[in-house]
Amino acid sequence: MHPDNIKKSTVFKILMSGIAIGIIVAAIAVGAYHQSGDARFCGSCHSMKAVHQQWKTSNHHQYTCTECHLPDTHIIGQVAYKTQAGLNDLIHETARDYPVAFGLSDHARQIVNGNCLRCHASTVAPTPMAQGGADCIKCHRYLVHGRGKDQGGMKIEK
Amino acid sequence: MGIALIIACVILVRVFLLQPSDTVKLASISDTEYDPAVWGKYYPLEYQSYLKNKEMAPSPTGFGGSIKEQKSVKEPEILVNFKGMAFSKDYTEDRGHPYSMDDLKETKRVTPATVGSCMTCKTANLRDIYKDMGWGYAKKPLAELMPLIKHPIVCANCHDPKTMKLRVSNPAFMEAMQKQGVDVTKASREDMRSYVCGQCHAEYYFKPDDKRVTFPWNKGLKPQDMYAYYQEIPFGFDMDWLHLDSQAKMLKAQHPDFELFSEGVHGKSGVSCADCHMPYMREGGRKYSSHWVTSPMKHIQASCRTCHTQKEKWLSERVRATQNNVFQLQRIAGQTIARAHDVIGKAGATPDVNQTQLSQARELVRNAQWFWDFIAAENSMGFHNPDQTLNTLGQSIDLAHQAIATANRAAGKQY
Repeated sequence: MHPDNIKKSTVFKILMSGIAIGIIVAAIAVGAYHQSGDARFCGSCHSMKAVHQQWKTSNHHQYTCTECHLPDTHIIGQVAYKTQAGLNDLIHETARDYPVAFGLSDHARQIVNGNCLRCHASTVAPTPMAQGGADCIKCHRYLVHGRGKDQGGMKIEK
Repeated sequence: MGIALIIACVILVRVFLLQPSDTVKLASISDTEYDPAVWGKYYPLEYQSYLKNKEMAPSPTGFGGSIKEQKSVKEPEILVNFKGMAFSKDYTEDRGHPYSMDDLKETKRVTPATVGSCMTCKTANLRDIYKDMGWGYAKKPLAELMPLIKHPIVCANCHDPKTMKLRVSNPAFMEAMQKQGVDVTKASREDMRSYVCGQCHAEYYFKPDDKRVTFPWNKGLKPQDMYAYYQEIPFGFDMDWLHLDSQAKMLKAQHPDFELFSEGVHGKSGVSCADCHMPYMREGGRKYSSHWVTSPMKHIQASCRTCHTQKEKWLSERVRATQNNVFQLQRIAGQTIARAHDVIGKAGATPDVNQTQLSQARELVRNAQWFWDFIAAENSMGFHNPDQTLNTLGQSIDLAHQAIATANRAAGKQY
């Protein structure tokens, strides 16, 4: 066989398998991205059990965790935030050093507030709150995650 | 590659396969087992946190704390206001539950004349002593009961060893609640989370005849309600002691934490003592109730932030602001009362003093000091109920000034 032909066919094969691997990896990544945004996945962590339970009975339970907790921005920003937040969760979930009561950081609060407005902007628009500086969850803080008070403590096995 | 695989496996196992347990096995502990170390074998997280009660440390806000030091160092008016009774000799900051019996043995307030009722809230052994003798133990000399007491305040004071359910041990609390129409043996778990604390962290007096521990709650839980109750001289109880200078018949308040808290915004909102003082903690992911009964300011995240979304610093500053305001008025009240005792004493020694006005002045200082002491003897520096506290101290200051004015009128001159 002419060396050029060998070269061409190898390049072709490498190219094709590269594309195939690329498609598979992309499919897995997209699948994982969506799967990891599923509320059931979030709730499978021990530290998230209580907040997951509270969300399930809230009047926003048709929306998954990421609808409120991922920043309302382009896909790169979302992926970056999710990677960072996800790693943080993974580290503390593995180390088991998470507290009982969770609170939002200032940044996380901004994200949640932004997501409130994705749906409720028109309600807020005619009010003085639209002039900026308003904090939705200052008042509506128990909307989804209940009154934080975590019932129960350690259960005794019968 | 190998290391990455190991890390992945560890994460997989810890995060998904072997999650921390949410339950604990019920152990069989004997009814008369009071040694907390035995209970601790079965409930290690709770026991480890109980042991932290041995810590002696200042309070984060500067008020309270668990270091045994004389309160009169910070508030010297205590020495004047309790003249003629043991609290002027020895009145220290309280330490944790494991020290309850040590402190009872060490205090200079206990003498050979001290009666058995003094140990009611100091030990789990009370359960057996009360079972054997009923209230008969109250009148016996404390020294006679001492050999029967092996443990301080331990698990058994508040827990049934068979079911781990909460229970109350102090018979005086059960009787007082019965009078309010509450059967504590049928109370909800949420109520019990305050009753187990309230059984001892409350105001009481000893009935003069049989020395039974009695709660003055018939007219209500506010300081003015209890004062009205004491004014009726219940069972002939007219005073704790006669003040040396003013010769007024005085009352001593004892840590009315439960009463003050119950009437406050947290108490009225259904928050229990344990919610803040024994919050849920996590250790290795396992949730448990902290048994380190201490200032919530040591763990604001667990105590306050379950409900309040503000930052720790903000929350702690709110508490400090309240306590600083209260302490300022508490000092003014205490010092004005100290002056009243002095003025009444001098008026009493004046020839031709108006006796009617003099006894009015004594009555006023008795009332003023009750209000001051109700807050000063309470353990939260007003935080359990800030608005009522400031009201009580305001009234105390006014009554103390009235006492001074009335004594001067009785004497016909200005002391």
